[in-house]
Amino acid sequence: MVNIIFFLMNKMDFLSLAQTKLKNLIFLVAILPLILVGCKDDPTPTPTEPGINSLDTLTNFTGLVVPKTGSITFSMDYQFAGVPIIFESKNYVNAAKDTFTINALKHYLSNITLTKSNGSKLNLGTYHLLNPQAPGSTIFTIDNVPAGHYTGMQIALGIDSTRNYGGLQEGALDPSWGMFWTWNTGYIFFRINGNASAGKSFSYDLGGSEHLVRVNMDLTTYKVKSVNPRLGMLMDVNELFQNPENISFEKDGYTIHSNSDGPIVKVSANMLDMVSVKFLEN
Amino acid sequence: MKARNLLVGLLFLGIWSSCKKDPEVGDSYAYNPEPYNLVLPNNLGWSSFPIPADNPLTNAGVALGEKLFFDPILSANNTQSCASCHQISNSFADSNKFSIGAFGQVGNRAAMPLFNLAWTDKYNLTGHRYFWDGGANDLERQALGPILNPVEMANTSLFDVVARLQNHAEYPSLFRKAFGSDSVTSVKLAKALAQYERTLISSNSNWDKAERRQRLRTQSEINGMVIFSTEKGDCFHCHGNLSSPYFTDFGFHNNGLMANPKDSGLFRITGRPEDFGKMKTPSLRNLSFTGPYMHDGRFKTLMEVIEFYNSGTQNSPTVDPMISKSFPHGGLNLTPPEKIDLLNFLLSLNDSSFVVNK
Repeated sequence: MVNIIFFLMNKMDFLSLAQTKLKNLIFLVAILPLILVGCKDDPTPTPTEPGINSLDTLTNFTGLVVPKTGSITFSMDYQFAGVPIIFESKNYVNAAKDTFTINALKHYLSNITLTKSNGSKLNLGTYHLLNPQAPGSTIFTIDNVPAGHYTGMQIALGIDSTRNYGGLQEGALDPSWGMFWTWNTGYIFFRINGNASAGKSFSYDLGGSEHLVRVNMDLTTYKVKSVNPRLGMLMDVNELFQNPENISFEKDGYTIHSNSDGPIVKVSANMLDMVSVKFLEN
Repeated sequence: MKARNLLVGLLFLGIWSSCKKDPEVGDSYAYNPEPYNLVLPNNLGWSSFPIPADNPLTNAGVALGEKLFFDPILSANNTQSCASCHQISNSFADSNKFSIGAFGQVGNRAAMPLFNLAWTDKYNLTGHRYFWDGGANDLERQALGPILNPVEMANTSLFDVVARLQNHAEYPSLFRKAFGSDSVTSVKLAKALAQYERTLISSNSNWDKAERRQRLRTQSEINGMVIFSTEKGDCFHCHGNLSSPYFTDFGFHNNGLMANPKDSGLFRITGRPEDFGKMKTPSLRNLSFTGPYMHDGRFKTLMEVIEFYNSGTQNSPTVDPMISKSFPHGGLNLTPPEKIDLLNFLLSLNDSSFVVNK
């Protein structure tokens, strides 16, 4: 042993490093049997739980079957009246005949809740800030989704009141992202702004837990069985300005914030059909 | 053999020096969650205040918050710290009517004094707590407001502030000491500032000393106390009764300053018409240091304030009933000696030990 140490000493500048090497070696030798055992044991254990078996063999179903713990990759595409959005340069016209560009669009998406075929709900509990001008932000994967047969989904376009009014948080909820009111309590759930006609601009910063929009989506028009399915959503920004009530800049304001009672109620109601499932696939 | 001995000797020297070095390097910056010993006043009436579970007071956190509070690094052009407008000598208020921003911008409200803040969390359950208009529901969130306000520290993004701190020679180590990692975030910044602010407790006024039986009140103070705490002056409905040592109800009121309030106050936050023009009730402690008075700093002296409540209040749709009830009588009708008594009572709430550097 001593010889080995001195041999290594010649190669290394520090004893500590030499010791580390040695330790690594001993460690490797020690865990080798464990690794081998681990390799041998691996293939057997999974399919013993009864629930998982039935999901595996399930063939007569609609919706999404995740046969064992899996990952779902969610994505969002952005359109205006069915056409992909071109930011800043393209003019759009809404139902109230306002003409405008869309210069920025950012929003939170949270509380993705899957409905199981037995009616129970599963909240995946993650928070995401989506910005179509930063394309990487509009696709995300949620791991450790429990096995199950899912027939519906709900998303919140914003933050639930616990997180909205709770202490400051890191990650997607870090105030640094600028989707946070430092003069008011809570997050900006949904931001859209741009240039309107006659040199005016519009700015909607929507928020406030009482205005949180939760969109329900049906998955039963699909039939997918996968441990890592991809679920694509589509947001049609035109729907923010219509259905059931038209929003007009002149009437409802060029700026709408959480505290402006009337317009934000109308906008929030419009947003309920703003997002739909575009695809669900393996 | 000799060579080998030398080698072994060197080896041990190596072990020894590495042993000696390792624990010392960065030791004073090692993560240290040692709790801060918060000394609460022991007068009757004071209670403990809630400390957020995710931001306990630690010595390292409070020290970091204090350093940040006095450091102009937080402003966009490195010219202004929190303490520029919240000066110790003014009980952490600003002697200017409106505070001046980092680029010389003139604000639209007087900087509020800072003391005994955290009791707000206990006694205001509305979620509208800090700022004149209640725009922040906790001290952590409040702390970020001035950093981004264009008329205050004028940063356009918290990322800029975080980057300045991250690139600083010492701050990453101080953040590690307080929060366990070198990485600076806006959340940790806010937490540190809030920790420091929670330690700003003012409880050593003549009134407190009298409560602790350490001094006797003057007759004029006693007369003033009676005016304060009865329907005569009717100050106590908003500024708290005498069994409450905070001298605020932690709420929001329209005190009749203007017939048409220019500043919408709490309305800006709630959007409720009944909140138009309502402002946070400031504590009456340390008034000698916190002038000028009101959210717009319109009154230079306490006598002006007393005269305003005595005869200058104005009607508007949201004016507080405690103010409007004196309208039929043309005001409070305090006599000149009564005004002096009220003033002497208010002056007894000064805590001069709070307004000196410690």
